[in-house]
Amino acid sequence: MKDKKINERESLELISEMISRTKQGIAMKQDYNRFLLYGYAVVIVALVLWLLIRVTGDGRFMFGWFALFLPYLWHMVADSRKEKHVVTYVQSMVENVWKVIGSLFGLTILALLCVGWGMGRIDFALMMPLSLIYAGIGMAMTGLVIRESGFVWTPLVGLGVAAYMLVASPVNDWNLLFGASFLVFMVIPVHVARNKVK
Amino acid sequence: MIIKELDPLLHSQLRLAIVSLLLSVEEADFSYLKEHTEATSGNLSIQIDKLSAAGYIEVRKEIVGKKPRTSCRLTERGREALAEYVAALKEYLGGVL
Repeated sequence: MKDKKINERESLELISEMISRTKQGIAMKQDYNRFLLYGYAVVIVALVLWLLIRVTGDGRFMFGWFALFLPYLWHMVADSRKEKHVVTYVQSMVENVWKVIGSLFGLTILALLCVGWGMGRIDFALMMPLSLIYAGIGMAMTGLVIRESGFVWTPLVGLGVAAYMLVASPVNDWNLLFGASFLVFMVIPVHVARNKVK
Repeated sequence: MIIKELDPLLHSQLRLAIVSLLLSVEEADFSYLKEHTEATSGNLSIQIDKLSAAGYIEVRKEIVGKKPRTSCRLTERGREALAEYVAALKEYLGGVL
């Protein structure tokens, strides 16, 4: 393409061709890998911790949940190295949704630390049901943005499980319930969405 | 009937292609624009500078992993200019469209 004058009809054709080229290119580019990274990490950690606590009876294994910072760090490093040639409105919207959700996680940890410190006993147990609610909201908002109905409605399972945890369930079962919820509202819908693209 | 004059800055194949590509995305880098316009680096660079000087696009230069990266995004002014340009084109082609 050169810096040459074109007639009116060619102009209109060029505009529509460029717009459709961009749309074709970006339709396939929704990056689902990060959802699978977090989804599978949660499922694996949940299973391992449930087993460890069941076998040993030692509740301190719950600190194993902090291992979830590892995929976060890995994702941060990988993201900074990746060359992004184009950023769409949808991608930037989804990214901003998860920035807000990430901030909620961070603020909740900070709040639990401060309150626990003041009361002389730090207890992160509330993080699990709250995380289900936060991650569920994030998935639902992502689903609305990318128009993926599987992302929008499956987080209701997470909300239901969070309510059940708080009302009725013994704490060690929380690990299993937590992992199963992520499987239902993150891992499975993401695989379904990826298969649609293929 | 008075027909508006076509914006000379947009009434050029390469500049119009750049602005049209940027219309559907939040941001695109130099290599993405080069690939889709099939222009030479030198020519593309000149046209990007012209659009940037007119305030139609915003250009950001940064270093990512030791490599320089130039990314462009359409400004509100550029978006309005393209809308006016398309409206003017439709007036020109009114009878045919």
